Amino acid sequence: MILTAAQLTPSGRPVLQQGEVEVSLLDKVDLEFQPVGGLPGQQAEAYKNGYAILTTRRLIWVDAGPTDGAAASAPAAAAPGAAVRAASLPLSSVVVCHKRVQFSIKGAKVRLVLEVYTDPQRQPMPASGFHTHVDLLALRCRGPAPDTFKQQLEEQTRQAIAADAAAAPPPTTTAGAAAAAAAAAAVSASSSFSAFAGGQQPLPDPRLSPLRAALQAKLSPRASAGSPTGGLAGAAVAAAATATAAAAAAGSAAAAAVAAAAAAAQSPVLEQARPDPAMLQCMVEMGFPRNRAARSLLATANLGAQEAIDYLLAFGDQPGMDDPLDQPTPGWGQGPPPPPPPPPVQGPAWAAATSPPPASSAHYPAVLPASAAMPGSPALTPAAAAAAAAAGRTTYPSVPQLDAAAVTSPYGGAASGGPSSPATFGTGGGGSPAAALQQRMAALRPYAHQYGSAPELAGASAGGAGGGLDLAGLAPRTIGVAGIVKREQQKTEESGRAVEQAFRDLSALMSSAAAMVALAEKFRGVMAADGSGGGGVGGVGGGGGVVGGEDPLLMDLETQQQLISLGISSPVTRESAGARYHIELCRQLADFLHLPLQRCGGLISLPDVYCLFNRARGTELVSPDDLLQAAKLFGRAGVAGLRLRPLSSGVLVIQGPQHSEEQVCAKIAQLTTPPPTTATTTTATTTAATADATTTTTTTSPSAPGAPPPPSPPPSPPPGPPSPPLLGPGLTSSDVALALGGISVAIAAEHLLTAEARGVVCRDDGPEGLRFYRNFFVQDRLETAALFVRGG
Amino acid sequence: MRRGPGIAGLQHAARTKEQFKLTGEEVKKNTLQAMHEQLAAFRTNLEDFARKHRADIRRDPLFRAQFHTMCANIGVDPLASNKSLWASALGLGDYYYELGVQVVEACLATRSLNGGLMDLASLLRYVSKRRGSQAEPVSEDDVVRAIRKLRVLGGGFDLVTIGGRQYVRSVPGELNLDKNRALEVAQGKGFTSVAQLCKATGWPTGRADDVLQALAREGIAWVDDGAPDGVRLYWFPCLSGGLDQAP
Repeated sequence: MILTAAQLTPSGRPVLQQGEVEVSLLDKVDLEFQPVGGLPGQQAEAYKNGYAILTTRRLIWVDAGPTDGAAASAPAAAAPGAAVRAASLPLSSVVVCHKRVQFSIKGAKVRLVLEVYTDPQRQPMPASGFHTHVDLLALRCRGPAPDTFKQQLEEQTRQAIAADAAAAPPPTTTAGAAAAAAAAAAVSASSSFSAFAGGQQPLPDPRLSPLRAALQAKLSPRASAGSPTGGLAGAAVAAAATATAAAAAAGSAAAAAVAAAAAAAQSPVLEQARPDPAMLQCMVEMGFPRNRAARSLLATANLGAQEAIDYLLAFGDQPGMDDPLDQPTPGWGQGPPPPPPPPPVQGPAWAAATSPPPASSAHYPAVLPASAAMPGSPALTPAAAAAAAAAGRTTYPSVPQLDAAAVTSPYGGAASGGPSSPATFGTGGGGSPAAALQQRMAALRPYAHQYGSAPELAGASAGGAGGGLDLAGLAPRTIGVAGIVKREQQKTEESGRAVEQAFRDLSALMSSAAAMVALAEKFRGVMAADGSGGGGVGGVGGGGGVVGGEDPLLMDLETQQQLISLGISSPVTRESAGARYHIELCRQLADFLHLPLQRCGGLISLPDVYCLFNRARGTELVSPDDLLQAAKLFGRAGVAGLRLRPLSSGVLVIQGPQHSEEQVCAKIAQLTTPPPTTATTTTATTTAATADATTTTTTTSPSAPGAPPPPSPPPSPPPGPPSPPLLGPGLTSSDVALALGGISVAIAAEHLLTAEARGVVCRDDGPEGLRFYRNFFVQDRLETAALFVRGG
Repeated sequence: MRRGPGIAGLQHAARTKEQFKLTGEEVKKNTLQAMHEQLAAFRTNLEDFARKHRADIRRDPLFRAQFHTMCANIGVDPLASNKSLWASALGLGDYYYELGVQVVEACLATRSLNGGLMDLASLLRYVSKRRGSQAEPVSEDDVVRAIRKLRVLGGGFDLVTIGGRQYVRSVPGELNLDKNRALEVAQGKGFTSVAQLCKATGWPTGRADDVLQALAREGIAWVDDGAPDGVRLYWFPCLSGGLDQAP
């Protein structure tokens, strides 16, 4: 199998993609390929001595390298960097994961064997494609038991496949795809039947791609209990039966009936579900984005281009307006993953979404009591099934399910009367579908407009003017300045309501987290602009002219900006890194410190690091002890350049690669040398072996190492004159702080002391404070004897 | 906009323009006001969640990242948990560590102003402000304990007592007796001058001048040459009653 290389940061941690988060880490793992495999050009039977990192999207294997083991001389070995390999496997290509234990005399060998879809070139490929090859990849675990890791791997795989599928472009609307959808419905139905019949037949693999499911659907029904197959009608009947099974499993058919009724009651008007092509074309030509235009047309029920444009202007900047129509809203939910790609939406189906007879499902006996307890059994919601039964010729997507807990419900058509994409909700296995439906709908409300439910927005903004399609009451009718004003108002009201909704409880916040993040960023942007504007007018006071009274941002903008830009989206935690906690923490710290170190001149004290690092990590606090321990590991973790060292005052600092004592001393020496215009002496002293003009300097200059000092020249006139040009400027710590790019004064003082210890400068502790001058004792090779002579 | 002919038309256009501008400003003001209210609601809610649902937030890595972004943007402290029984009795738990982060942050944020010396009272004010209105009040004793916890990280942080008041010193270095004395003299008003210092301590002018200049060089004192009587004043932002409350 050919794996792709993973990028590593300079300190040896994998570079994560946008939105990717580390989940778990398994120490001491070898990769074993079935025949051979690995990175292109570096193929082998196995990659040994590494560790595996599980992220939300990939499984990354990192070579632990020789530095990890022990030797203190390691950093040098790690420097080449070429030897450090990292391979990554996208989780969405994983079929299944087994744990295999092989017992032998030496002890048990534990392996996690992954089946991975590959294409003919043996490269992993996403599970949603068409598959012919499956390769095996084994993780040989030498370290801790991989059980929790396996669990998390399976969980993440499921989510990754679902996310991948949701992101994939939906297939084009063709008859073949429709047939596939129908067949998929059939397979889901038939598998339910077979489970009902005896529960013997293995359920179809939950991670099958739709196409494969379709293939299997052609074969399996005949083998099973003779469930109806073939035509669309058959599929619909089967779907209905499945739905009743699901309802029964949920505990009560009555609950299902309630759910269906509730859904039906919510459907205000029958709508045409397709944007009118002519009007759409017209709007696109006017320069509106296609998806927005389409959604606006849907929301206004194709009443006319003018209405659609008004709607677009009023609500066009809501999140989700730009999503393609055929796609479901990506859910941020923690629980069930989003559904696999919905088969293309069929026109006629929308029109047929009348309110279904709820009683029909109640007639069926509880046929499948075991269904809820059986993971992987595909099920439809009653609402969908009822709709399907009523429509009779529906092609509603009833995709093969990924998860027992996730139930696909194309209830959008029934719930909001608009064009809908299937939405998932978790029934938690046995929970009441009605409750789940309601909960999910509540969570979806902020997104309501995506489903084209203009009524809700209009109703709310008009002060609860009923649920009907009350477009006449909608503000966009008012045009001109007044209309703009009103729209502005509505927009702010809208976001206020969204905040209210999102913070009702944690799950609501989780489901609308993305929208809230966007809102928070917007707030910050506005406040920043406002703050700078207000500062210009009202002076320094933060609250001048601002209604809030108290200044909204506690920190200055710069600090806040830094905090945001430095944020660590995937902090190393004890849970995620396990035994390698301190090493990984150390590497993350090294990556993190790159910027702060640059800002403060390559030296940063540990308490400051503690604060910055913890702020960047958000809620994942690192204790001072852990931080200290991590900072001590820079050498062992193979991080080049960083070093923890105590200053002479006992303060612990982390020293970056920018900072070297040699450089600082050179800089200080340069600062202390007198400027060349006045400094005839510096050049003079070097070339002073030759006779020179001024008698006073000559007394000090002929100090060639070999030559003894002249016995005792007659006491030279005054010792004063020569010193000023010789001395050059005196440095205080604040001068150094400035010259080194604004580092802190205390650290600059440390630098000066270091330079003094190295003989670069000399101190002068006078009434003006501590100043440092260039060390002419050393630099001019001035002999002490000569000095004594001169002084005496 | 219809364009009329002649001067009347121009004047009309100018008037219309003016009116549009006024309306625009009005709208902007209203929107801003609404947004401030929403921001306040957002912040209170976020603080609440950060406090109550911390464990849940931490359990979901993806949501944790999003929550963190929200907090950072709004300026909510994600580390504002309440003191547990264990924390108050034995100093266990994360409470003092979190407080430590906030203390260091306060010192970092004000360091450029006060040269790394901060009055404990103003530190406390900053910390409580950062923790938000919902969190439990923090006492001076808590801050002191939090600073003690930071000692593991080397001697960068220290408590200094000057004239009966406590200060937190966040940059390495020592205050000698003379500097202490100067700070003590300035404590009441937040500033002092050479003459005042001489009068209060009985030092010769040179010594007083020396000390004050040294303090200015360290970034603790700020020189003010704009006093009405032309006497150079030295201000100490670290003393509460000084620049803290000046504006």
